[in-house]
Amino acid sequence: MLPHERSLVKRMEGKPFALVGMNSDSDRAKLKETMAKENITWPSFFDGGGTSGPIATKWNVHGWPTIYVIDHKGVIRYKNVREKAMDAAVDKLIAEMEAEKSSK
Amino acid sequence: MLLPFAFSFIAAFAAFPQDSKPSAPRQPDPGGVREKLAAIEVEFSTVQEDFYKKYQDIKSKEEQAAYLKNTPKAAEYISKAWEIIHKNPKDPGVIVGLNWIIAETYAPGGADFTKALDLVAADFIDSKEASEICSQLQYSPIDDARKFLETVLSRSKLIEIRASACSAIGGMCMNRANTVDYFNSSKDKKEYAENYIKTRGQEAFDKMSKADSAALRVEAEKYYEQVIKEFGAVASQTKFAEGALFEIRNLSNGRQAPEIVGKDVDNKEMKLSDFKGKVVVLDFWGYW
Repeated sequence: MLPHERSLVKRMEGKPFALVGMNSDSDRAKLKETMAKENITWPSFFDGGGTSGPIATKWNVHGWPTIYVIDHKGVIRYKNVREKAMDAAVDKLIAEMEAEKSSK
Repeated sequence: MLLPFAFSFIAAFAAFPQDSKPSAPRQPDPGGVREKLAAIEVEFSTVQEDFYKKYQDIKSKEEQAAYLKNTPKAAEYISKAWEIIHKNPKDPGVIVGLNWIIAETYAPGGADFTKALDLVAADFIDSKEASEICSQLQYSPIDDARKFLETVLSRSKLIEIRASACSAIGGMCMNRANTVDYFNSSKDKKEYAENYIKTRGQEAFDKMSKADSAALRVEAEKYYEQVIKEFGAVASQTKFAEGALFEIRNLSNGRQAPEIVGKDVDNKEMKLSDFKGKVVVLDFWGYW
């Protein structure tokens, strides 16, 4: 996951795109060390320090990672896409957004 | 090597009440059926562990592919388990072996899978393992699994087990819906199809590729609603069903993502809507 995410974030630099983590680790200080070490530069929520945090629970997440791809209007469009499929989903939504802008 | 949707681990194993009849704790018997069957399971998992430990040291992709051709197969161990089960069909310890055989064969199914389910349905429908088996079966693409769950739902004497079967049918419908959506949106359908057929079989693939995910979600809703209405007394399953209903109703593709208000890793407030206007990949992750 991580190498792919790093390259996706790099590829999307300057585009209207955000990778947002929802982290379920237990120790915030240790997590920050890991993020520095692993070069995780994107923002992450910290979900209360465990796998049964309030947001993972509300979103019915029982497996990690779980991925949601959300378009610029805030609509859920894809779930659990990985690697190539994640790239394709993001590219499609960015293209949709640009097409919409230019038709206005 | 796992299919992308097979990553979930089951968080829904219901906390199980003690049998209503109190009995003296059973002393382990090294020559007993239960222990012999458990030993086969341990033997196979040790073989698998060793195999994957060695795999980690292989560097090149070609060598990795060649190595994986010799992935340990459960078949030989399953035959050993059947031998013990056939010799002792009435021993209550048999359920340990049946549970394990089901876990090893739930995808792509097959003769061992069906036979083990039939025996559980006949003799162990009220055992504590039945509940565990139900939870596991929600990940099975095989029709026999669905039939088994329906049998348990209508015939088990214990409400916890019926609740677990009902919830698992809902889960099965939902997992199928997610798989269908995933397949339809996947970039490389051919590669996905090949992987699916390899792990779950042609028949399951044909069915999946023609299924209607919206209809499957409606069906899932029906079973989860039944869990809440009929099995409200089983707290663990009710909680699970409520979560699943929230997901179906609010987190399906095409729905507006619910707002998230939380704290970031620096303990600063962050909202999902902070990113509105951008394409967002929301990644539930952990470093473990």
